[in-house]
Amino acid sequence: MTRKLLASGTAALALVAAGCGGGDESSASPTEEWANSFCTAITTWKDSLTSVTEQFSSLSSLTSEALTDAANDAKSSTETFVDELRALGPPETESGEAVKSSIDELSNTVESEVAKIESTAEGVSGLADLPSAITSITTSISAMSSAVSSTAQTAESADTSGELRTALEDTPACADISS
Amino acid sequence: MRLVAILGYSDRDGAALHPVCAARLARAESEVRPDDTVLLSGWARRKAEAAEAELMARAWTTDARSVILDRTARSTVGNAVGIARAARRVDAREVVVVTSGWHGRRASVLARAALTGSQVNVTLAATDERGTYRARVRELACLLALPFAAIVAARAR
Repeated sequence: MTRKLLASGTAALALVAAGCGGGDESSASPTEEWANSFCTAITTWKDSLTSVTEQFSSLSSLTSEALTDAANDAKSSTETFVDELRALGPPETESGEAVKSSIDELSNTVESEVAKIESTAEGVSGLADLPSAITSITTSISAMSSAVSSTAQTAESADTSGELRTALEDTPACADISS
Repeated sequence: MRLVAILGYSDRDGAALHPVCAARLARAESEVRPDDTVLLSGWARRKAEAAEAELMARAWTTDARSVILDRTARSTVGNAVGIARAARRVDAREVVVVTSGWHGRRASVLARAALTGSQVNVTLAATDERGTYRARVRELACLLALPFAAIVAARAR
């Protein structure tokens, strides 16, 4: 199921795919506009997270303060991403409400797992804390990964007419999604 | 002294050397010089199975000063903490992290975080694998968690 979704580039897979390009939106349908906003939110978030980690290209940049700042930046960009997802509203398709509900669930999962990860990192003070911290962070990462897959499955199941898939395939901002 | 650290990989399916892990080994064997120390890093998913580090050691054929096994690392943070420990042990001035292309950014950032406060230079030697869909989903979630994991790696020394 998931591999099929990847191949066809359906909505939730945009969450994990490569960046999106720009495009002419003047003739876009409401569903294509939704798809464009969705892909843009994802790309902005992914680029922001990439930028946060790119600053750590040398040991000299890895001070305790810089790590804390980076964690705060990642959290802040994720909060923006979650807000943007929630503000999207449903796509104007037959399956719109189901897709919206699924994306809201994903947003809630990302938000709560980030809070857990932050709390875990704050609680580490030495080597003895490492095993439990790793377990906790790994669990959160798995929860977020599962939420992405679940959203993808829900989107595909709900999109029986293929409207959303067509919009995502036709929207320039999502052109690279399935690559 | 240069330390070349190869990060293990396995899945739930078997106890043999995973193709992803074999690709990392092949990349490392083209990188290692006879005076390097090699670190093979990775745990066993089940008690009855050989650790990723063991499986890599059995397949390793290239001359090196010495080969160290870290059978305890069960995550990339664990790999990074083990790299820092080994680097201190052999007094390394440079660490080369060998892993898959899709995993390289995270692995090198965490290795640097674990070596915070040292003068060890960290470089990356990655394979050109893009990763499966599943791996890329996970890497996006890991990218979000990376700054926090780096804090954990830096504190767990």
